[in-house]
Amino acid sequence: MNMQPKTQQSPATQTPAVEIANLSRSFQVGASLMSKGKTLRAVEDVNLSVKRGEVLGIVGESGSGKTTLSRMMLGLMKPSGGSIRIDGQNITTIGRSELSRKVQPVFQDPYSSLNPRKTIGQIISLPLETHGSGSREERTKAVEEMMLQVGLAPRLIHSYPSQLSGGQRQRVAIARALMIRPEILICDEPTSALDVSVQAQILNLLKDLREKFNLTYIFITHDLGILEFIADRVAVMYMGRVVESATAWNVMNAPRHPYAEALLGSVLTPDPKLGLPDLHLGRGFPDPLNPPTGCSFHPRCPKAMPQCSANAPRTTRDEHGLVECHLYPEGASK
Amino acid sequence: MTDATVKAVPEALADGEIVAPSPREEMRRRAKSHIGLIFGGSIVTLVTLIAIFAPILAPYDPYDQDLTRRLIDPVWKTGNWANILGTDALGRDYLSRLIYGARISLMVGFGAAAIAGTVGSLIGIIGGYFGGRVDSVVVYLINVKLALPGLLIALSLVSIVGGSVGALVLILGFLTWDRYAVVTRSVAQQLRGNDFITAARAVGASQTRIILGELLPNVMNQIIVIASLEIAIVILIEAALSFLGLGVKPPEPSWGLMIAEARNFMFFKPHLIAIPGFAIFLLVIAINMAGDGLRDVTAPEGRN
Repeated sequence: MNMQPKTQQSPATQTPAVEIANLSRSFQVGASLMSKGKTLRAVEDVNLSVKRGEVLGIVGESGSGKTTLSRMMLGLMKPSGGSIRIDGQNITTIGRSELSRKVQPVFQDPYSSLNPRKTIGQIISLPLETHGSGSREERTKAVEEMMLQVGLAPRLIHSYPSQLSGGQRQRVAIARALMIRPEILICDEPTSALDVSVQAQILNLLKDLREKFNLTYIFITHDLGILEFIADRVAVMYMGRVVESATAWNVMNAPRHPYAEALLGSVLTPDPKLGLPDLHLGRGFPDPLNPPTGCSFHPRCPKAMPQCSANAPRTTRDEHGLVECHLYPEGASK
Repeated sequence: MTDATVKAVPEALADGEIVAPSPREEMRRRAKSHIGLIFGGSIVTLVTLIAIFAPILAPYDPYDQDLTRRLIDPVWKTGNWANILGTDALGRDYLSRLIYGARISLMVGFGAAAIAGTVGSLIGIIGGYFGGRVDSVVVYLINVKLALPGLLIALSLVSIVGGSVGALVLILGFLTWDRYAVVTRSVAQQLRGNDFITAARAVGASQTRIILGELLPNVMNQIIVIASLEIAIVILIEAALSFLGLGVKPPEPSWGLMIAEARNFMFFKPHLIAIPGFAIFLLVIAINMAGDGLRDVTAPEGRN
């Protein structure tokens, strides 16, 4: 399998497709009239940059802030701090309808992402109707063309989602997202609700479409195997922070943060003799309302040192990427 | 998934014909085997047709008085086919009045349900979809409505405004919206977290489009079922109000009013009360049966 960076050299490398700077989002939990409640920091001080045509994988456990991040990129949630720039333009200054022409989502659950009361044709043409583009006939034609592009038979145009398989539904969701020709597709676990055989088809489809439509992907998943296949760069999130970000090859073969290492060790193999992977992660995921002191990973970290519980590590940037760990102090390049 | 040779397209294109029936076909199939729905539905349809074609079907003018032909017995007592159901105390043909009375019952029933359904469903969907403060206001409104003694308010309003079909429709419409609101609110609450709502938002759809285009089709079944049951209740209220002299005013041929007017002859002409009473009973029970049937037929689909 080809592990080298897959990005084609494009002339438009000057402005990144997505640039996230110091992005944070916190929620008030359990607030009432009497108490202010607690603050949950879902996303904290995230810095990421995605080049045009690149596939950025975001990986992390449930509750690590992946979905909050994706909702902010879609403009469905306002950041508490920091900024997101799409094509160099701050997301808060882009109008709802203009933003939807740039960024579109593909969701995890193809059962809840399609309206059960609408036909496939109606679902796929919703973006066109919303933007008021084309006549009725033109829209139907565009829908049929798009259905072919994503590998759906146009005769399914009058069926309902309940008549389709999971894989077909996910194709419908992808078709809907592509109807208004966005530049960026945010795929939030697009294959984790599907059978393994169908997963491969959807991943291949996404790969094909990326070239055909010149797309940039932000691929959120907890499955490193998928990222190995599709991603150019990978960001590892833990408790709302990006703890490591590097090329996919580097993360897969030479992970630096102990959490990334542990995640890699957790990948299930089809060989039954190997058994379940042995994780040295100790206790479960910490309570995000009472995050640990210092480095938030230290209670589970097999390589924890005394300083890890005392103060939070600084971000180290070098030619490999970015890592946030006391094992890699600033300036000391490994 | 590391096997890059798996092809992306052919599976979905090549796979077989659609086997699963569409939700609509499924519903039609269930409806066909539901006796209550068929029975109730056909009576309601029949009464509706009678009401629509009243001018053709009625043998006489329902307002035409003939004091020389008062209180004629129906055909099964006299054998006289001129007035099949006899005449009332003012010599008006009872069958013609019964036929025109169906118009008032259905107009009040459907009119009030249309107003209540629109108002209640909109309030409910908005509360359930937006949540938070908006929802608190909606819940407060519903609670206020549930605490109001509906029939008493209807009585007092009608006595102030005066009884006409239009006034009745409006008053009863604004007094029966709460059930629509309660049900649509809870459905909207369940649906708002679904990804298809998020997808519609991400596509740039306005809130109005999401409410009318995405949410409404999903609550339509529930609305229809509630409406069918509410229509029956409203028809009964109209009959009760007219009976009390606070609904439709004479000489309009409302079924409730016909019973009220026949009160004085209750002991020697009982059919004058029995006939409109049976008409109300039949229509209400038919609507209830149809409503129950609709619920049975649509419920499995509504739960997805």
